[in-house]
Amino acid sequence: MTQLLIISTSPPYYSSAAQDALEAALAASNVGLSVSFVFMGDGLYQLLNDQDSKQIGKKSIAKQIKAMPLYDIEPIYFIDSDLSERQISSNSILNVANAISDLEFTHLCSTASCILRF
Amino acid sequence: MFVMNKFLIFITGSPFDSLNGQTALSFCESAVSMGHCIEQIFFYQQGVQHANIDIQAASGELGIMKKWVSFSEQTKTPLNICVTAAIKRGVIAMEEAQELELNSNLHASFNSVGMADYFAALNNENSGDVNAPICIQF
Repeated sequence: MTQLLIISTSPPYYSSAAQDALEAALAASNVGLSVSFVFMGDGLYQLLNDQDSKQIGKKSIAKQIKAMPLYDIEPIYFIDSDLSERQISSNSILNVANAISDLEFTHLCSTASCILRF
Repeated sequence: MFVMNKFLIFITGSPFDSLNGQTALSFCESAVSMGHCIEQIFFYQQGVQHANIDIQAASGELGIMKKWVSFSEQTKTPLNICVTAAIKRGVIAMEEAQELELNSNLHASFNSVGMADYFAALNNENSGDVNAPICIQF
């Protein structure tokens, strides 16, 4: 099975990148690819569990992320060091995502058959 | 021994605001000249603007659209744009234009497809071996 790794590096509403990454993951999973998803750098802000996107008229990124396992988009990871660099508590992060080290991330990249970065 | 690689190209930058498209095209031309195969070129995010006939190059500059079209004609490589990404960015295929009563501005050499089309091409039994298509993002 083709292993697709999607790396999402942008904050949730600053640009369309976060939404575009999620839509790509969904399309790939729909046609049977095995999709892993990593939030990296400022992409970590997408995982904050207290998001309200109503004021800016956007779909909630957090809600969509929570639904990812229902669409077979998993595993979902973030990089542990990104959390401490941004002084974000692990309690503020959606629990669908698991922390991995830089080394584990490197391993993930080397085993993927295709990588898309947004 | 020469191994012919098959490439699936993924372009996310617009023609004017980035050099992604030009870099991708140069890669494709080199790959073909070395005997490799470009299976499809897929435009996503702002990349869909490559198919927008309303975009005009500044005077004295060469528009990349003509180059894509001639590359596609010479190598029979399909140029595909993501329909959802395109419609949000004002690149409208004929079918959607009729439905929404808008003017179509998608160049006739580009196909408006679902994103699943790109991933379906990636998903095959050869995954992991030398015959598997290689996905490259620009």
